Amino acid sequence: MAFKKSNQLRDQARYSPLQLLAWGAGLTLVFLILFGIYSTLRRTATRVSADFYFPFLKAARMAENAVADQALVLQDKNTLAKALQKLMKENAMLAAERTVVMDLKKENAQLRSLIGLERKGVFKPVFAEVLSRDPMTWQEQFTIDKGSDDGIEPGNPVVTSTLMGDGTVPAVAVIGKISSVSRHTAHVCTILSQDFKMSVSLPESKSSGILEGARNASDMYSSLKFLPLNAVPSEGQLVYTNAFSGNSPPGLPVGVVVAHTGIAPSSSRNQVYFETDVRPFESPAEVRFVAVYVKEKK
Amino acid sequence: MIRLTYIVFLTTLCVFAELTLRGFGLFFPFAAFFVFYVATAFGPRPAFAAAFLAACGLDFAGGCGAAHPWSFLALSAVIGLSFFWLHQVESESILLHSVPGAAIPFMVWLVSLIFLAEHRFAAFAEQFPGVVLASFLASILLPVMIYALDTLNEKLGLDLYTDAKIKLKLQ
Repeated sequence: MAFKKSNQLRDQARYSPLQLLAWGAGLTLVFLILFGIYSTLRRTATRVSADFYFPFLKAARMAENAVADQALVLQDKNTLAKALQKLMKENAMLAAERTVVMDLKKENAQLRSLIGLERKGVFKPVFAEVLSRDPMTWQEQFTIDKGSDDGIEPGNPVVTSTLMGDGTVPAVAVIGKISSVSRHTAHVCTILSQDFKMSVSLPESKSSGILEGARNASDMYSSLKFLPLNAVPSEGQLVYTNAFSGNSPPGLPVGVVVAHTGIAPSSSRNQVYFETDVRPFESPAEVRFVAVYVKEKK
Repeated sequence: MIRLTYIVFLTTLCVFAELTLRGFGLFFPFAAFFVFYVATAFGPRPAFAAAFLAACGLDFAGGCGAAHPWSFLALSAVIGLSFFWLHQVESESILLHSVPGAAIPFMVWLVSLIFLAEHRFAAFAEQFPGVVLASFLASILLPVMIYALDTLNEKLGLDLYTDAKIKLKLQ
């Protein structure tokens, strides 16, 4: 018996490594085929059985819903009114929570957008938060929590985060400029303030003009004046800062040319220059975080 | 000295409260109420000093960034109202102070509108409902404030608002 067993072992030992490899490959192939068949069958069976059982399961669910609806109808008015009141309360709570979350989301997007700001030539961004506002000049002015200690000077442009294009591209746009500074605070006159004046360019029509604050804050438009007669801006044209004043880096988006009066987007003034309206990208009333481009001192 | 410290401290406190509310878009002239109180209780000079201090705080430290303390004019008008109330109105009831209480927000708002607002008509239309609400609340707050400050003054040994008419009659 022991002799027979040792013979068998000797026979097995006779298999060459190539044969063993072939056996292994064959077994793997068989295993893969079986697994494939199993998977296909399983999927088919799942689909068939799910569809087969669907009407029965649906019927059971429908019956359950019908019973629940009937039970609801059978309940007295007081119980229903209480349930409704509870749901309304929950709804109000959820709506309030949603508003808070939306605000935080917006604030987060604004901060991310501002943090991504880079130097522009000799200008570096200084980040600040709106410190105080006055209801009397809500749209036109506000105070920020950074001042001359941070290098801020009168005339520096103030930018905020906004969404451009179709409202999905995060960017920064000019919202105003510094009108006065103290050591720790700075005062900003917004793009809608009558004190606001800035030299701007329209790259499309290769022209430049002076952007002035709004005639009427409720209109939410600024006036772009002193445009040459041979460069009539078209509606939707973007307005950017230029380097003429030396106070702001060129190429910062300021607003977009609009024709809100229902007439032509531009009108000639004494046939000497053109004047048009520009809508800022962001309403100054909603701004909370800003960045000020300050000139780095050598 | 106590009176000076008292005026400076409470003016600063009122300005701070007013500026904080302004930051939320609410108009409520705490400083004007205090100036009204000081004008009656202590007389014109301390009242004008408080008004100037408050105007500097409201116009320079606040978000309106005025070049001059224009609010001083509004607060001077409040001092004028306090003298009118002291000399012309016979009643000594604290509750009747709801009338100047209701008038002060309008007075301060209208003067501020002339000197501080850039777009006056737009600001007028936007803020009028808020000022009506502030006026209503002020008609309740001013009598309460007079009572509270008089209680404090009594403990500090300072002149009382409620004694002002008596003093005037004795003179």
